[in-house]
Formats: sequence, structure tokens, C-alpha cells
Amino acid sequence: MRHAGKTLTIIVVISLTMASSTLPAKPQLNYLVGLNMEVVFMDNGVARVTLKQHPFDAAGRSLISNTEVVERVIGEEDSIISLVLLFFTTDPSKASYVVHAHSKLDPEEQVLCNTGTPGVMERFDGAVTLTLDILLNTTSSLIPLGGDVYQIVVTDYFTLTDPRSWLDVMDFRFMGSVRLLNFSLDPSWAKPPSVATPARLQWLNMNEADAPDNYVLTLQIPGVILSTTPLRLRAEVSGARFSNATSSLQVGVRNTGGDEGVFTVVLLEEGFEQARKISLKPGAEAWVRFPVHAPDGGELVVKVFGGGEQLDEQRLTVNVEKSTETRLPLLSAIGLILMVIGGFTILLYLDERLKRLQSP
Amino acid sequence: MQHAKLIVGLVLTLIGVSLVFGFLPGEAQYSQAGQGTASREARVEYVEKRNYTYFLSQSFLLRNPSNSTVVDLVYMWLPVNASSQFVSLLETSIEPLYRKKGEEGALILVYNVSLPRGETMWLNATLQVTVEKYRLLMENIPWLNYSQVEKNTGGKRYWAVENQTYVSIAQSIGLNARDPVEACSSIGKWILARLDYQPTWRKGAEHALITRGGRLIVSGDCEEVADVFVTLARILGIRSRVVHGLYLLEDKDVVTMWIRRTETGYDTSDNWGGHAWPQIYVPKAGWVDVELLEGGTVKIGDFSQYHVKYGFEEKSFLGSTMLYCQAMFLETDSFYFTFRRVKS
Repeated sequence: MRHAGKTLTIIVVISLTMASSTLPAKPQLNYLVGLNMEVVFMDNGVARVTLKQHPFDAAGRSLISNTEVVERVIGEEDSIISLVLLFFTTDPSKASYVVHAHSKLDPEEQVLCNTGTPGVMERFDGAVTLTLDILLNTTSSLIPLGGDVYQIVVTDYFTLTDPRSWLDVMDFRFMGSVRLLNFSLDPSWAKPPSVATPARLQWLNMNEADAPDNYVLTLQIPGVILSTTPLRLRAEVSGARFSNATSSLQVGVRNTGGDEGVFTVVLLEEGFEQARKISLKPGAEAWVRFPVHAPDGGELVVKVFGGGEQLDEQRLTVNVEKSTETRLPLLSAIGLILMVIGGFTILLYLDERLKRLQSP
Repeated sequence: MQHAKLIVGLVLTLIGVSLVFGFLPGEAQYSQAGQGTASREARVEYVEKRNYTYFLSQSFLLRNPSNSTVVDLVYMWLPVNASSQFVSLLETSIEPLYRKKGEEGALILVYNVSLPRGETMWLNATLQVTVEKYRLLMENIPWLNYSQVEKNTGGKRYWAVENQTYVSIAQSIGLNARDPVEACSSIGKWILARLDYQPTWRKGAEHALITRGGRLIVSGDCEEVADVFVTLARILGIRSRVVHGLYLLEDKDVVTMWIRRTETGYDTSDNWGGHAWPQIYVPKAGWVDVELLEGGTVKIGDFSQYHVKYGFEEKSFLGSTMLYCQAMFLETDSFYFTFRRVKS
């Protein structure tokens, strides 16, 4: 399938393998999809995103009456949601959203789209629509600037990642108490908006070159609660062992909390900061190793982080272990015997000499 | 004769003292199993470094499948200028409209092409590509710092760093590793010991690991090998990414490889070398190539002249979209790559 659009294109993978000679192609439904996105910024930091899709063929003919194609578009809701979230966050798994209206065919909607004729935006009747409410405070797009002013970076994920794809229409609206204070584009030479009013910004992108990669908005949004991750993870440094044979430090970490989590063990020494990730179940302990670069007697600091917070800190000194397993080699034993015999011989000599001096 | 005992006694004592203090372990030798004290200096050195230059001609056959003239933007990916690779564009069959940098540094020429219905045209570019063959010596390499680990070792679509099977595998392989290079070597050996090489469409690390006969198997081709490697490395806090490019399977002065679209899919030349391999970021060294499919051993910082890099995949959540040459409306029916080795 080539599900593209003046928009997204599912990659036709050209065998990236080393040895294959012939690879079967997946059955393809060749169609492109016109994409229009409307983003309504609402009080409390909610962005209501409506995506309107209209499939068409390479000749620019609408496929909205092709049931198979439309069902295919509707059936891709999960992946489309991920794509929409990627407009607002670098990690969709951490974004909170609610599907306000699932994908459905709406014959009343319209989609604007360039189908290959330069400079012409065609209007298609009918669209597959999907509406999400995204909590911006759970995304990476929301950057607090102070007070209730925020910078919001909306990334056209299509044009950023696939140079052939872009959004045909991006339509920002500002509702309730939300105020547009400023906006800019990245790259700066991207086409300016077709509509720019205090309540609305709209871009009509004829091609990928016109379409901005990033829409940067400065908004006043009252009522946003910046949630912080509750500190639930607990861990401690449970031990440390320095091995001079390998110049390495083993650090033990124990999860002392009730939640499984990923912890980061940090070793600080002069000139180096090293960190290791470790996943621990509640009560579990594990050891990690670091190469030590500090000289003997050098100061080391070990810290444990979890959930973005420092959980423990220990200070250590590089102490050289003296081997407890040193065995007296054979030659050393012989040396000792020779020392005893030599000493005894000297004592004999001294004894004889003393007797000789005392004798009349 | 009377002093003979004194002389003998002194000689024996001296020999004894030298034997005892000469062979007992001294303060400087904290030996364990005779290893001596390990060096503590972080060290990165080129053991070998040699440039190989090719003239690369890449040609793509475009076709207009529609019933009307199509004016389209055509995107042609070029090999990237990157560590151990230097690229210059010598000529192109038509003047590009502009050059575009992809998200992860890929270099793309964008052409404005008009084709009447049913017609075809070749789009060509000639480049000079210098590949640096190298072998690195890496000792006492520190792990990444905290902010780099937090920022650069997360999961992506193809890298299932939160999958518990992968987490437990990574920790059993790598927690005891002294440094990141040792950990990556262990990861590579683990993969090679379980690899069932099968050409496939990219399925990502999540689906590359299967159980067969009660044993874990890494099933797939170079992309799955790279994805599994990157996943395991990232779980251990090692910054890692995938390189997409071409591999010269033949060591000849002129190598041509191709792909052609057919009615059922794609045919490729027997020497087709589309390839993907991992890289790791090594403090003091930068990005270091890792190759697990060349010679059956784990090669870290042991990079051959047969690799040509077209793009990287590190930050993009959905992965690389590198396609060599693609348009929106026009079809690309053939992809030809000819490498001519320049004698040095």
C-alpha cells in the first residue's frame, strides 16, 4: 500500500538485506491521502486535534467512494493516532489523550489538497475524520515561559521525517481564554500563514517545500497544571567493591521501594562522569561495573537516580586491595631457610669467638 | 678458617634475604591471579586507517503511471558526509531544485520533474565517495554521563527498550561489563550465537526475537540484527543508532548493483547490498561502527571499506525513510548503483 498524501507515505521498503535476490512485495493499494489538521487550543492546556483525511489516486481522482480504501483508512486509526501525537511529543507512549471521536466517514466535511498540479489546491468532498483531546502538559511540545505563557512547538512529523510528505492544511484556533501572543516558523523561509488573526492561524501548503517543519506558537493559556511525576521510586547504594586487578568499581544498588523501575547509577570521579541504567524489581539488588580512572586515594561519588530524582549518594575513596591470597613462593621459602641457616652459622661463629676470648 | 663460618653465614643470610624480599609480593603489585594492576587511562587510538575512494553513479528510472502529465518533486538521497566517509557531488543529469537536509543529516537532492503520461526518464547523479577503513583500539572507555543516558537511550518504534524479555537479556549480558565496548562485544556475541538469518521486511526488535525449541532466536536480516543490537545497547545506557546504506559484496574495481520493480515486487541483482548496521557513541571516539555480519565475528571499531552510508536513524520515532529515490506521484522502477574504485 502506498498510503501517502500530500502527507504520509508508508515506506515501500527496498530490500535492505545483504543477500536476498527477490523479495515479495506486500499487496498494494496505491493511494495517496490528503491531510488537513485542525488544532483548537482550549483552556487548561487541552489541544483538540481533528484530522481530516481524503484518499485519492495518482491521477488526482477521489477514492472516497471506494469502500475498501476508506475502510483501510479508518482501520489505521491506531497508527494515525501515534502520528498525530508525534506532532506534539517525541514519545507518544508518555502523552495523555482521549479519543473524542473515532475515525469515521463524514460526507459533509471537505479536504483541501494538492494532487500534483502546481499551485492548485483542490477541494474534495467527504473526509475520514478523527478527533483527539491531547493534554499538552504530558507532551514535550509545551515549554513554560513564565506565568501562564507557554511556547508550543507543533512539528509536522510528516514533512520532517519523510521529505515527500506534508500536511496540506494546518489550522490553529484559539478558544476561550487562550491568547495568541506570537508565532514563528522553522525553517524561517517556510511559507507564512494564509490566515493570521488573533483567533486563527491557517497554512495552506501546496508542496513539501512550502510546509513548515515546526510551527512555534507563544500562547497565554490559563489553568495549565504542570504535573510532576510523583516520586515513588526508592533505591540505595547497597555496596561498592574496587578491584585493582581490573581498575574497576562494582556498585551494588537495591530497589528499596514498592515499584519496579529503571534507575541510573552515576559515578563521579575527577574528569569523568559515568552513568549506567539498571532495571530493578522491588527489593531486588544488582551490581554494575565502571572503569575507574582516578588514581589511588582519589575521591569517588556514587549517586542513584530514579524518576528524575536523586535517591541516594555515597562517597568513596579508591583504596587498593592488598591480596589476601599471596602465597610464599618456593624460592621465598628457600630464602627463609637460607636466612635461618646463615643466622645460625653466624651465631655459632660468634659463640665460638666469645668462648675463645673468655678462655685463659 | 675461623672466619669461614662468618663468611658462610653472611652469604647465606644475604642470599636468603634477597630471595625472600625479591619474591614476596610487593606493595606495587596488587596482583590477583597474576594480572597485575590494570591501566586506568581512557585510550582511543587508530591501529589502522586507510582511505578508499569510489566514483559512484546512481541512476533511477522514473515512470509516470497516470493518464495525464505529472509535475512532481523527486527526492534523491545521496551518501552522507559523516565520520569515516567523505562525499562530493560531481554531476547530476538535471539541475536540482534545491538540496534538503533530512531529519538525521541525510542529504537529499530535490528535483522538479515533469513527465507526460506513461513516459519514463532516467535521473542520474555521479559522486566521489571516500570511505575510511579503520580499526580502533579502545581501552578504559567511560560510560556516558547521566544527561546523555537520559536523553539518548530511550525506545523508538523499532527498539523495544521497555520489553521485559529484552531488559532481562541485556542485564544478564551486560551489567557486569566493565566498559561500554565490552558490553557491546557481549551483545554482539549473544546475537550471533542465536541468529537465524532470514531476509525479511523490517519488523523491529519486538518481533525479531522468537522462541524456537525452547531457545531464543534472533530471526531476520541485517535490520533485525541492528535493531536488536541497538535495543540491548540502549537498555544498558549505551547510545546507539542504525546506519542505512550499501555494502559492496564484491571486491572488484567496478561493482554494479540494482533493484528493479516487477509486477509482483522487486528483483535485485545477486550482489545487491542494501545494508543496515549499528553504531555506538563512544566518549573520546565519537560514533563507532559495529558490524556483526562480516566474517562471522563481532567487529566494533573495525570498519571495512565496503560500507557506504546513506543515512542514520537515532532520534526519529518511526525510523528512517531513506528510499534512495522516490517521488510522490511518479514511480521509481529501477535503482542502479555503480561503484568504480579509484586506484590510490
